Amino acid sequence: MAFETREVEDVTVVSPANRRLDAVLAPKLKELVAELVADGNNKIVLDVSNVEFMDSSGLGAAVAALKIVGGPGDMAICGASGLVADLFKLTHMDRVFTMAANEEEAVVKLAS
Amino acid sequence: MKDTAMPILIVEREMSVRLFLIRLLESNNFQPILAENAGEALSVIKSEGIKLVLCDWDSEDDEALTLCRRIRSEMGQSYVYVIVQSIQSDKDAIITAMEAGADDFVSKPVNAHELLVRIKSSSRIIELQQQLVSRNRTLEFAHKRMSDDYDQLTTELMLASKMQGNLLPDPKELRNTYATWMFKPANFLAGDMFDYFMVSDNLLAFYVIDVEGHGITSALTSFLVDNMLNPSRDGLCRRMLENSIDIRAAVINTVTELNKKFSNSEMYTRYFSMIYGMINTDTGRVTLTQAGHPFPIRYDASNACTQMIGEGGVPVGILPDVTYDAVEFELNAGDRLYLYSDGVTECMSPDGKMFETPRLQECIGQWHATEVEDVHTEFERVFRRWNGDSKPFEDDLSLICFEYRGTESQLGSVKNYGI
Repeated sequence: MAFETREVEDVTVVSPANRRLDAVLAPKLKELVAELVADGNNKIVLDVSNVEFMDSSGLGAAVAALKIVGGPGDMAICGASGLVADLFKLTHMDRVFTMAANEEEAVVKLAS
Repeated sequence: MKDTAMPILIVEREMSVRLFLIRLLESNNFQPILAENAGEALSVIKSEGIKLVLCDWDSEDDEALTLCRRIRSEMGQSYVYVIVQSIQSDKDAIITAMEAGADDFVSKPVNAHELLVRIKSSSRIIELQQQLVSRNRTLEFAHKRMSDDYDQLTTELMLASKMQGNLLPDPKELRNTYATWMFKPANFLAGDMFDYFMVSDNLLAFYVIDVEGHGITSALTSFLVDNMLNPSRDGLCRRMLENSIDIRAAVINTVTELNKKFSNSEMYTRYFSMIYGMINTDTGRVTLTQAGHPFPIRYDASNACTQMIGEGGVPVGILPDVTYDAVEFELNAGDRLYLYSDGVTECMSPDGKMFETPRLQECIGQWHATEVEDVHTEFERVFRRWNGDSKPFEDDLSLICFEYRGTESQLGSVKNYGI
């Protein structure tokens, strides 16, 4: 599996199993989120705490996922650090997504 | 068994055995064909396309063995099945016949039933062999077509890559400003693209883009953007300059317009990071919008230090309705401005280390010792060495450098109007 998913309350947390979120995983992430939403899971947290490198395709997939879910009220990014955090800042995507330090904070932010 | 009777060649000197074999084969729906000796047999095999030979091995001479050997050496891909019949029936005789190239061995006097069973088993093998040959032919044909197509595709890509190279501007002096660069596509075609040109007497416009991914789709997107901005084609830069209240608005409006086009259309599937800006060649004042592209670096010649410019920004075509901003600052005579794609800072060394921004800043400090006309050779040297010389780059690398050579002294202050 390219991604692990787990349910926390009414939120689905998606974690890439790989340390790189790039062109290889990007289409799979889009597909997975589309499936989750189709199954009625419409609050998603993308947990990138294990991701060390994310390229433009990875970022594109995260934004595509955000559009599928509906908006920043329904999707959060948690655990971004290092190069991944830099990429979100550079592209101002930290202002587009709900950003959280960890899973618990992300779940609280999506619930409120 | 096929509808038409399968021809079987009989090489047999003894008349009575010949007649016996002819009758046996005919009554079992085979078509017997006769040959007197090995030489005649071989020419009949070739002319009639014979697949099965019944060959008598006389104890007196070894003509049958010679025939076996010649069939094996002369018939190549087209397999001929040989059954040797002989009055010798000991193990040594069987081994000798098989070694000469026989497929099967029947002892004389021939038992009709046994021979028929062996002929039927041989015809199964012949049929399988023919299927294999025909499948092989189909595969060879398909493989040839694929490799022809692949060669053509490679040629096309190389041509396209040359064309893309031709779209890039030459390193050159543009009114008090010298522009130079390094460009390394990861594949034949790059998603990175840049250009610089004068849009008025004293305004040098420039842009760098990096389309998500790299390869054909990315390259086509970068062609589209180039087509829109280039003054000799769509000329969005000039139009926006004419229709905006000032340079800052013209820069912002150009990027905003591109974002509208690329984020609202179903046709564009890739987004891109970009820096678009202008240098006033009379004053050294730079106005630029940073849309998700790495932070420009200014080299301050009088203080011998580097400075990161900008506050980031949303890439073009990723979201509709984005509000862009611009950063403005001055270049003094001798200062340089560096723009680069993330392929530069994320360039990997053979032992898995990234180049990263601090190392680039350090290099920029050292590169100042080299005349701007020659500095691209330094870029090449540094990145070839970092990459381990021979291997292809994992991402497109584009690194552009402007040196301002203004005559009057300007203030080096950086005003930031960005968000």
